[in-house]
Order: sequence, then C-alpha cells, then structure tokens
Amino acid sequence: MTEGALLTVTGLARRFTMPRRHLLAPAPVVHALNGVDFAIPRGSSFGIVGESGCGKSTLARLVMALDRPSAGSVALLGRDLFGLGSGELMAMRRHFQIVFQDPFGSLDPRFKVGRVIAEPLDALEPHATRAERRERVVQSLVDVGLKPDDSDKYPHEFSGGQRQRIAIARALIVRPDLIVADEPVSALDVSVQAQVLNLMLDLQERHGVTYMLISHDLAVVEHVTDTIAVMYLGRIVEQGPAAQVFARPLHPYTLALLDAVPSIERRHRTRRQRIPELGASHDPGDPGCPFRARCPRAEARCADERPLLRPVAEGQLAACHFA
Amino acid sequence: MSTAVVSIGRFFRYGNFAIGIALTGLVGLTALVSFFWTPHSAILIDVAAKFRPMSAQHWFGTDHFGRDVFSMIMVGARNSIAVGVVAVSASVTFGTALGLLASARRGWIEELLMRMSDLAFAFPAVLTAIMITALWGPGAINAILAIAIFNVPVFARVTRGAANAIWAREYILAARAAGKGGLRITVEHVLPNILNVLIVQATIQFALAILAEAGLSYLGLGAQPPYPSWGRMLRDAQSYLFEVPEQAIYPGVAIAIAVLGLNLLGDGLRDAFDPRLVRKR
Amino acid sequence: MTLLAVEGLNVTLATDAGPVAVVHDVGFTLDRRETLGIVGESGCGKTMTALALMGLLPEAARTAGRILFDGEDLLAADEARLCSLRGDRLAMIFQEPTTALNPVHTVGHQVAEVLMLHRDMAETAALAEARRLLDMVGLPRAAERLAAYPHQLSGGQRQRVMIAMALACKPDILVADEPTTALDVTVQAQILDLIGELVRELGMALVLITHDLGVVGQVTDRVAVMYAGRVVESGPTEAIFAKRAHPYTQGLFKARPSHAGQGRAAGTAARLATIPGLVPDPRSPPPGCAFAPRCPHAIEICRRPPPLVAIGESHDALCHRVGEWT
Repeated sequence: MTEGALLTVTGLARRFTMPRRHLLAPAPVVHALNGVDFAIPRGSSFGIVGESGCGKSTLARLVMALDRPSAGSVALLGRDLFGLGSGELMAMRRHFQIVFQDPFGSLDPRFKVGRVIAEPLDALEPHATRAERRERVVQSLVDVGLKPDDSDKYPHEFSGGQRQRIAIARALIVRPDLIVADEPVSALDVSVQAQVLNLMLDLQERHGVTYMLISHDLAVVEHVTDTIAVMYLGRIVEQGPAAQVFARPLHPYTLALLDAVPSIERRHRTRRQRIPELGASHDPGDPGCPFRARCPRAEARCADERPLLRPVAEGQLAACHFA
Repeated sequence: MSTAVVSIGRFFRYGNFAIGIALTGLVGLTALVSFFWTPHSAILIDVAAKFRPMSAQHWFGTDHFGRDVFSMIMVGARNSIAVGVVAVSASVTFGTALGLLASARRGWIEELLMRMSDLAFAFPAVLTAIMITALWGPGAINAILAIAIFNVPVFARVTRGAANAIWAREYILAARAAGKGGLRITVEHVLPNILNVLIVQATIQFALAILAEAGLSYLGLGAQPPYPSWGRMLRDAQSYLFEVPEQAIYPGVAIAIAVLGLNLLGDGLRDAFDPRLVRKR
Repeated sequence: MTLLAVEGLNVTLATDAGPVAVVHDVGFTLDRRETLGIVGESGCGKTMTALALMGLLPEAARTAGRILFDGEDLLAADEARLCSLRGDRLAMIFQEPTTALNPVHTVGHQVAEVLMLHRDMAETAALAEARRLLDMVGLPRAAERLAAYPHQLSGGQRQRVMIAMALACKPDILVADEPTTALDVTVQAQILDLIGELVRELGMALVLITHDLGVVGQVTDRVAVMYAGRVVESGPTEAIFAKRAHPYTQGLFKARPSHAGQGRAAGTAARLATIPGLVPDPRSPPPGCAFAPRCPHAIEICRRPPPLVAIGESHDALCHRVGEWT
C-alpha cells in the first residue's frame, strides 16, 4: 500500500466457523474481520479503537502471525508473513513483539522474571552466551524501570503495573521494530496506567520503536498515538490523525463513541444521542452499511449501498455516505 | 464458633492428608524392609505347621502350606508396589505423551486419539486386563502390561484436558509470539503447569492399579506362585473361609490400607495444589 | 432522620499474617434521591465498604462503628434480619453480570424469585411483575426474554437484568459496585443513564463504587475519594471537581489521559502526570498520612495522622497541608 511502510495490512479478513447448533444445521460462520487495510510508517504510533467484538484482538493476532487469515496479507518490512516458511517466520519474529492486556495471564507463573524476559531471546538467538543473555535481561529490566535483581523473583511478587512492565521488557529484549500492544493498560489502575503509558512513550523516543496500540479507551489511544483507526464489526469505519479525528469525527459511530465517554468536563450534559445496543451480528452478505441499524442518520441509501472507506478530509478517511 | 469450624475443616484437610501419608508410608516401608528382613521365609513350605494361630513366632499365623503369613504380607507389599509403580510409570509416560500431542496439534490427531480412548473406556478396565492376560498368559509382567494399557487412556485424557486449559492461556500466546515452537512450549510451559494434575491422577491410578493387580492375582492371572501376592492370598484363604477366617482378613486389610492411603494422599495433594482452595481459607 | 448514616466504620480482615485493617473510620450520610460516589483504586477499601453496607463481608472480617439504616444498626443485626433486608430494602449490583446471574435459570425466573421471596407473590404474578421490570430497565422484547437464559443475552442486557433484580422490591438503597466496568463505552453510557433515571423516579439512594472519575462526574451528587482504606476527601461532586483539595485526588485527576489536545498529534506527546510508587501494603501501612510516601507535598508533619480539614460547605479533606501549596 504505502511505500516504505514498516507494516502493511491489505484486505485482511478472518472468518471463524462455530460449532453447529444441531447435527444437520450448517455451521454458523462469524466474520470477525471483514477486509482491513492500513499501513504503519516506521517510528509512528498507530491506534486501533473499537468496542468488544469489533475484531481488534483478532487483528492483533493476525498481525502477530499467531493465527492465519481467511484472506489478505500482512507485510512487515516488505515481506508477507503468511508467505514465509515456518523457519523464516520465526526469524522474522525478532522484528515484531506483542504486549498483552492481562498482566496476570500473560506471564507463566512458574517462570522467574529473568526467564520470562529472556524468552524471545532464548527462542530467537539461542547462541547468545550466558553473560550476554544476563546483560540483555538487565538492560531490558532497567529500560522499563525495574531493578536488575528483580529477575530472580516470580511474577506473583509484583503488582499489576510492574507485571505489565515485565511484559514490555520481554517484548523489548530483541529490540523489535514493531510492538503490538493489545489493551496494555486497561487492566491497570489510573495512576499506574499513566506510568505505563509514559514508559511506552519514553521507550519510543529512546529506541524508535513503532507501536500498534489497540484499546477500547479513546483517551489512552489519543494520548499515545498519532494516527487512529476506529473499527466497527470487523471493518475500519474511520481513520486519520488522532487529534483531527477526535476533534472532528466524521463517522457517526466515532461520534457516538466519543459522546459516550463519561467525562469530567461535561457534567450534567444535555441528553446525548443514544445509539441502541448492538443486536445480532452483521450479515456479511448484507449490501448496506453495517452501522445503519444503530445510526441516527441512516437513510434508504444506507440499506442498499455499503459506504467505502474514502478520503473525506485532509488525511482523514471515513466509511459513511454523509461524511 | 467459626474457629471450631475452621479447625475441624483443617483436620479434614490436613488430617486426612497426614493419614494418607502415614498409610502409604507404612506400605512402602513394609515393602522396603521385606528386601532385607522378614520374620520367616515367605515362600518356604512347611505343611506340618499349617494353620498355626497368631503367636509370638508367627504374628499372623501360618497358611495352608504352613508359610508365615506376616512375611507373605510383607513380600506381597513389594509385589503390589512394584506392579503399581511400573504400570503407572509406563501409562503416565505414554498417556501424557499422547495427551500432550493431542493438545498441541489439535485437529484430527486430537479427534483420533480421543475417539480411541473412548473405545478403550467402553470396556471395563479389569475386563480389559483379564482379556489381555488371557491372550498373553498369566504372570506378573503381563499383569503389569495389562494394567498399564488400561491406564494409558486415563492419562491421555487427563493430560489433554489440563493441557488444553494451559494452551488457552495468554502466556502461551506470548511464547508463540516470542518465537517458540509447539514442542518447546509443551516442554517448557505446558508440562510444568499440569504436573500437579498428573501427580494427583498418578496417585489415584496407583491405588487402582494395586486393586487391579489384587483382582488379577485373585483370578490367578497375576504373579505366579511361589511369589506371594495379596490377591492370591485372598483367593487361597477363600477355600478355608469358615475354618480360618482371619487368613482372608490380613491380605484384605493390607489391600484396603494401601488403596485408602493412596486415595487420601491423592485427595490431599489435589487440595494442596489447588490455589483456589488455599486462598479461600 | 437520614436514611443511611455510616459512622466510624472499620473493617479488619483476619489473615494468616494476622489482622489487616482494610477500612478505617469511614463515615458518610445518605438520603433518598441522593447519590454518593465512592472512588478509588484497587485495594483502597471501596468494595469492602460496599459489602459492609450489605452485610456481605467475608466471614474473616471484623467490624467496628455503626451503619444506621433508618435508625437500625446493620452491623449489630443478625443474619436473618439482614437476609430479610437484602434484596428487599437494600439491593446491590455487581461488576460482572455474567457471574452474578445463575446460568441454569431463566432471567424471568431469577427476577421473579426475588419477588416471591420478599413479597410472597404467586409465581404468575411475580412473572408478570418481572416482565414489567425488565421492560422498565429497557431490555428489548422483555416479554420474550423472560424465558431466555443469561448466556443468550449480551453483557449490557445481563446488566439490565441485574438492575431489574435489584430494583424488584423497590429498595431504599441501591449499592452499585463498578456496574459498568465490564461494559463497552456506548453500553456504559446507557446503563449509567438508566441508573440515574431510576434513582430519580423511584426515590432511591444510590451508592456508586467506581474507579472512574468520569462515571462519578456523570451520575453522583456527592463523592468520597478513598485511599488505603480511608476517605481522604469528600464533598459535593461539583465542589470537588472544581477544587480538588487532597493531593491524591489531584493526582488521580491529572493521571487521566483526556482529550485535551495534549496527545502526540500535538507534537511530542506530553507525559501524563503520575503518582509515583505503589499503594501501601495494608499489612504495614506507613505511619501518619498513608499517602505521604507518594505525595509531592509531603513534609515532616505528614508522618503524624492528618486532620480532617474543612474546605467548603460539607467538603473536607484529610490532609495536613491543604491550601499550603498552589
């Protein structure tokens, strides 16, 4: 898509076949991802926002090549991850790492912290000497603001915020180009959230790492990223520079999302426009706009023609007929 | 009030565990000692001295061949434990390997292995063992093989269930993202995290194996004379049940002690390994 | 007489390592149609306070102080009395509607059960009332959904069912512990609106426990900010949002990323203000002010227990140095 981008995602789709309801019924198919395109330039931060079920975690797994897409491609440094042999893919993994949401579930309770952090190193650079390995573990710990002798402790001896630092240290140890962060702070308390977000920003300045940040929290995404994509039912419905999208959302869903965030500043606000709760999942054979059932602006046209993601303002894309 | 409830609860938790350890230890110790010392020979026949009652010389009396029953019980413990250890080790090894494979590969391999274990489960375990020994002939080795074989699907199933739960954890995803392959993840992450489940299951299967061995020996399909085994002692005593009933009681109690001890031990270990129970108290 | 008056509430948990004090000297009053928000981070004692109100503290907990509900001390009441109050005059909504509903009963049955238990209603009458309640909480197609099982509903719909159950007997006090934390923002907005409306219509008093200052701002009249088991600042929501007196409250507000144009797009991303360090271990609390080790304004005097200082009309803060810095 974009020349020289670090990560290019093209036409990415993922369908899951669910268990049959009964023996003779056709197996239901869930379209978690319905054709997603974007590119992330090196050194930038790309945010993905959406509510549960919008496909953002599926997207994270596909970008990390932890799952195979039904269609489309993910190219990192110009190489299609799904066109690689398993050995080549493993070698590529030093270029991209991930930080998960749950600071308790993402660290093996039986591994000491040093071993947790060294895991990518052990897998990707098995020839590193003991001294080298030790040195890099310490370097990674110090990078994320932990102490070198923390490496001999077990994960349960740390708080949630510290454990998320450990997870970041693990991702950082192979000096990846891209770190995918899937809801990295949503399990943390507000004051700890701020510490971890600041750490992520510091690390980007120091090491030039590129982030793909996935979150349901609009404020978090706005704070950390320069470009954001808003996802709805497996598609990007709006994309653009973060500040611009937040200041002037062009898709009605983005508007509803922003409007729904409880805000300190807008107390006793006037009655918001309410969007009804999400009903049944969208039928991909449906020709219309997937958001129209909940959209306050929907017209006849929205039922017949699906709006495509198109440029509507300087650098800003939206998938709405009225944008 | 609640303090009393807690201490009674504690007793059932730790007290049972302690009894389990004590009983299992007793059986183990008896078997160990029998290698170096028994009051009399356990195989030496002295028909003249048959059916002696309990005495200072023969603690549990003598059987219909005049053998010292206490010595036979001691050596029988050795037999039961040997059969249990070998059979369970073999079935743990194979069953766990199959379960781990099924869990790591999923798809048709998992389906095939689990349907095969369904098939094995469809036959009662002891019946399978009898079938096998009937085919291959009676004897200690074949009894071990038979018991091992019907335990393999048990471990395959338990392993697969526990391993599937571990594979769903995020740290497995993290390990994959770090670049580790399936085998390495299985060895480094999955196996250590399901070890507690396997130990508990092995303890319980050990008890079942001892019971199965006694059953096979009782039917004459286990260890062959002159080596004493609890099951065969029970069968021999059966013929004289009305004349010398205590002869049936000794091996019966020995089997009960071993099985009860291992079951209590297994329960205790399960509680000890279950972090949810620990946290609740 | 006020509907609810909590006076000097202390909760101590017996643990293997000895008693641990998790709630210290918490006090507040609440009247009908009033809403109180209790805000704080995990481990600050807010959930323990809520459970104490409901008489649902774990068995290992010891309490001191009084919780006067219509003049009756709930801490002194026996379990039978509490049982007859809970679900009837005191109701609670939990964070996780998935685990709080029984998966093997239909939602209609679960709502009706409350009515059959506390109002001695016959089953048909109770089911009819359940339908009305589910309608009231905005569950779409409520009549059909009576026969639905919890797993057939979405998270937001399950939370609506929980609310219907809580409201079945028109309670005097509704305690909501993080009622929207597990929900998406658009759903959260609807549930918060719903709770707010119902409190006004039914004349209930609401205690809303949350970590989210935005949620507090949206719904409540009064706020109590808790830290390490104590209320460190309390007062009218407007007053606290306008003038945050306690350094911890200030820290919480500043640590929130907000759409204030300070994001990366505005150039190099500004760092968020953080509260350094960690919440103190309740087993070994620091001497004096519990926040002092993390407080940017702490001085020598903060090693002594801080006084409750009046900031404005019914607005207090637990701090030695209120107003001594800008």
